[in-house]
Amino acid sequence: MNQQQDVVITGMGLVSPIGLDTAELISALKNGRSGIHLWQSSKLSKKYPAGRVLRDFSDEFSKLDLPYLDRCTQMAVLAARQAITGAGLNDLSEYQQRAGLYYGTVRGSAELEEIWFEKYLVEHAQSARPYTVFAIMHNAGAAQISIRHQILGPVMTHNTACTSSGTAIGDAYRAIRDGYLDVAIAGGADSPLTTSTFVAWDGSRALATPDTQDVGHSCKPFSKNRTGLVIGEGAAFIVLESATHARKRGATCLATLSGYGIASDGYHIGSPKADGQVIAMAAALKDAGIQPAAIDYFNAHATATRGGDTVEANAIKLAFGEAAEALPVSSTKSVHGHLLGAASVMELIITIVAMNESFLPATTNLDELDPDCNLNHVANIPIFDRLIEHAMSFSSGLGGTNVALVVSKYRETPSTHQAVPV
Amino acid sequence: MPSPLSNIDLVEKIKDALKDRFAIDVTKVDENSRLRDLGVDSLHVLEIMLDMESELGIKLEDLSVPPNPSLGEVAAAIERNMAPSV
Repeated sequence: MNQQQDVVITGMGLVSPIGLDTAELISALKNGRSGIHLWQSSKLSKKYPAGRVLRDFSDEFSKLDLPYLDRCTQMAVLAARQAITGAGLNDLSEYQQRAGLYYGTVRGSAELEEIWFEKYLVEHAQSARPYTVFAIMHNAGAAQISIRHQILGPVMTHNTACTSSGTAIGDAYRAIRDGYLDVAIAGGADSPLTTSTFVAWDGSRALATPDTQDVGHSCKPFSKNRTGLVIGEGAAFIVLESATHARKRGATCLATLSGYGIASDGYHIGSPKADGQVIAMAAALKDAGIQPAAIDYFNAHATATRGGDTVEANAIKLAFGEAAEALPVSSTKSVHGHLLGAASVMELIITIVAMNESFLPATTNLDELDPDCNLNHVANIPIFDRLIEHAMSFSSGLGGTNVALVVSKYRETPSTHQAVPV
Repeated sequence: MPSPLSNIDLVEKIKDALKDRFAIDVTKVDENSRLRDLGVDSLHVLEIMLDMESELGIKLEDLSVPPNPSLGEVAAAIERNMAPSV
């Protein structure tokens, strides 16, 4: 039986409403800076709060490249490049089929598809530009990254709603742990700030209304006054390697990805159930080989919907038992919104920077706690000088997929991970 | 039927399209330049040909070009479509 590989994270990159790299992200989290702004469409009467990246990235690409790249793919390529070069890598062709890419997205290139449908409706266009089909396919982001960085092993696109990048990371982790790959890039992207996205979500009555005092405070997870989720855009990626491989090439190890748990509700397309969430959290703890009390910080999925936050709070209590009382919990969606396909990876990166910077990021806008969401919340302001040895980031997707990821401080001494006997 | 353009005129029009649409420096580009060497792929070529359709008010029935075409070969493909049918 082969010994399982320890999996380490050696690179992180992001394009997000609260930072275009990890340094900006850390600063925003420490200062409680919100990336939530008003979004409006000329076609809709309502205005919505949204996690927005206030930058156009088209100047980062040549005019030959641009027709193939809508905003979602542009952000994906840039965030992945940041992670890969940050890990001291670039062209991965030398790894042949032992390097892989795992990409999560929910809406993919929805914006470009919408533009062409409008041209059909308004101008009666019967044919799009030659490149459009290659730009709107859901795996466009994964393919563009793999071509640019010569990733020649598995190049996978995950679409598991809000857990898309979480399942992507989970599969990448398992592929390295079980010895199939030496290096994997995992993450996700979404650019969902489009009319059709907001119309569809508005129909579900799940969206937040803009805060009347400050739109930046519109997302209120666990609060009695929460009004719904705030959709956001962005991309984020991490580089995973076997610890052996990372050490051999002298890479800087930012964290150990020590546990992954996945479980599905099998319950309802739009309503979560605590059972599946509890099983995913417990599975991640077991995989990491640690007890619930060892988790020093929990980054919650909590999107600020009426039903979802309560179910998750109950799941945390059930999964952590007595340890839940002391477990610091926060939902950083309060400042960046719900990045859909990039949500899990964005929040895992936040968890890692919190661990490395020894602070607990806050749930902002939590002035009045919903008693049904009673937990040990990091409310409104971060808590500094707190050592985090292990932390969990949890995501739950519409349709019922639940993902829990455990990260641990990187230690030189290898763990005693052993393959489970069969 | 619009008046046919010479191959040289068409090469100049393709150079204009490369410059305007794709910001390619065409100062050293001529009819023998291979489009792939300029970073132009088959879909970019297709778009240039569709641009020519609109600009010249013609309908290109046959959009086929040889693999890795030169500017002259793309011009010839357009020219072929402009020839009066017999």
